[in-house]
Amino acid sequence: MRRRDCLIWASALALPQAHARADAPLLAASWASGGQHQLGVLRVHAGRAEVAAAIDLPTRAHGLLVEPGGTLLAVARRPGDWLLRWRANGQVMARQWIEPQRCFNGHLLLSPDGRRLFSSETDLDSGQGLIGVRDAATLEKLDEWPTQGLDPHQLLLDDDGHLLVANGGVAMQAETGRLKLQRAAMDASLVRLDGGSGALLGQWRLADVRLSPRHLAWAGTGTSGRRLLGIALQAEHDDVAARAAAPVLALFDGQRLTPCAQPAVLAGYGGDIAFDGARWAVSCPRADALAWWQADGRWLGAQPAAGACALAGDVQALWSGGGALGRWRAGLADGSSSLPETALRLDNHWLRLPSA
Amino acid sequence: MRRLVACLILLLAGPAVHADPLPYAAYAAFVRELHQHWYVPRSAEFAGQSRRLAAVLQGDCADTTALRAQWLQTVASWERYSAVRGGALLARRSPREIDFMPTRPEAIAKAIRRAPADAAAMDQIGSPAKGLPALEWLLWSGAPTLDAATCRYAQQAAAAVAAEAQLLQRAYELALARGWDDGEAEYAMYEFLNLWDAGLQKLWWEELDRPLRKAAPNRPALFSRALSGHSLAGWRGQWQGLRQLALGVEADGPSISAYLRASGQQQAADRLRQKVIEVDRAMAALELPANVAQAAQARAAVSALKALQQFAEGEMATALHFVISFFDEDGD
Repeated sequence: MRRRDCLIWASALALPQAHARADAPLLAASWASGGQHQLGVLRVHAGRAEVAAAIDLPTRAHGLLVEPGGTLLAVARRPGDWLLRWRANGQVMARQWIEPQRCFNGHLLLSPDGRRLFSSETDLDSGQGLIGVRDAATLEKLDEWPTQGLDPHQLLLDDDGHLLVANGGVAMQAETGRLKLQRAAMDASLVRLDGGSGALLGQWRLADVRLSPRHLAWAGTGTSGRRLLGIALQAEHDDVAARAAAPVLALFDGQRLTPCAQPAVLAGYGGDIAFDGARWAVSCPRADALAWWQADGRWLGAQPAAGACALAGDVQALWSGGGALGRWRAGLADGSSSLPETALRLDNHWLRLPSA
Repeated sequence: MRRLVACLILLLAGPAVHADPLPYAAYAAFVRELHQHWYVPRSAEFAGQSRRLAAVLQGDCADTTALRAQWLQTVASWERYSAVRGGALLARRSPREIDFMPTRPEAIAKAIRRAPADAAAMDQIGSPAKGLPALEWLLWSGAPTLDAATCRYAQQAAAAVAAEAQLLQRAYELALARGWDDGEAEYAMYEFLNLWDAGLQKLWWEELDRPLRKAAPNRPALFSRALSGHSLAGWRGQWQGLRQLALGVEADGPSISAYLRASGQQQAADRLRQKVIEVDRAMAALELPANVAQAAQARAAVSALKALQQFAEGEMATALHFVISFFDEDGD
């Protein structure tokens, strides 16, 4: 985030000087409290997280995106039907409903020039995955690109401005909610789509077809000179033991998609992923753990982290959201902050916003 | 991850510790009763109503009063029956064929011009131009009597609904005759509970809250079944289906409440009853909102349904040892 964006956020929240210090981080998040879903900003200060701003949502959100002008975009959790642009002073800037026979799958991405917004979606007629290409200013749909798979979830840009998309591969019908269908016929993959046309540039699959790639994060360049992409996995095996022991991290070096070994049982469920400059972290809320690997995928260990799912951070610190807000440095717990209300349940993802 | 307790034990203690045995027999009994007392008779009733609708259309297309009356009877039967879209309804994706919404008038006009003459030709017509919503459009949007081409298309559309209804009835009968092994029974129980929860979500979000949020100020919201004036009755019909499966009405009929009591979860069963009664009150007071500004009763119904859903996904799910969530298990 650029300096100008930082000032926009500080200004929008009318932060007192004391709270605008680097040790009072701001986190954009969504959560449920008392049966109400909300989007907002949490300010972490003196061992406590406070709600600095919040707005009610119609249903649960999933992915969040900070725009260059400092506004926040949130998209409904799959099968979702709304997009919301919001400024942290409480002003809703825009609301967009999904088109008929489409649903949002929960993640958004801006094009390199900021003029187009990409959204992962499903065609409810065919069940096929789509990237919705939208005008970033109006949020209106301009085009649709097939993802060559089912259930696309998170998407990221690569260095060439192309899209890397995680096709989760699990068939689903919007009218049945989130009930997962036909797991035996899963078709999960990672695809690279041309950022200008949506043309398929490559597709990669894991040998274990019951591993569903969901969330993505970039690391620095690996030994090959290529940037490594980390992929948090969710296992869909029928067998409970196989599911519990399944890997939760895979790495993609531009050529090969490889699961990373883990000696720990992590319940086969990677909730979110982040890279702290030297190591990968994957949150495992079903195992109440944060799992760590070196940048090249070698196992480091798992740390207790009750309910931790949302991850955000940078080389200085990584923040995990769960039963409490955890701060991590160099793969080790470095303090925690209590949530503003015990009944506040954080959603799966959040974003670190600069404090000043 | 369907069974919360078994999963947590596995995670916390490792595979050497065995979870309590799952009550497969209880699952199988519930699913069998669900088919015997709900899906088989409800699917038979709907098949009968849809056959009558097709028959009335075959008899006299000019008598729109009789046609409309039979359409209303058919859709009322459908709404109660399909409040929880489990089993064959889910497997066949029948709601798309029978109740695709919103219907697309331009697709219907195109389909009328194509003049499909039989079931095979109707298969080539897309869902947006078929089903009960398309018939509602044909019966309420135009002239008091249907012209010949519209009548022929309406006959084919009604016949397609009746055919799907018949296949559904047969599928439920076959499922009941075949039975469920342990794994199938566990999954069917999980599916039912989650689709019951999805039914609550459909009612408060898709039917009530979302149309109100999408409506312009001082303009009527675009509720489903508005053309026929059946919106309010439709919402109540869906609720009747959901509440019947929650609390039961027949002595031998299945209900979540009865299952909870049989499992020794009296407190959760009492709380479920209390939440259902709160929705009963809100649904009884509900009127069709004239516009967004005059929607206090609808908002009260939304609140009561959301509270029931919150209870179902929390306390009730814990008592049943199943993960219940229209919004998934832990995450995404």
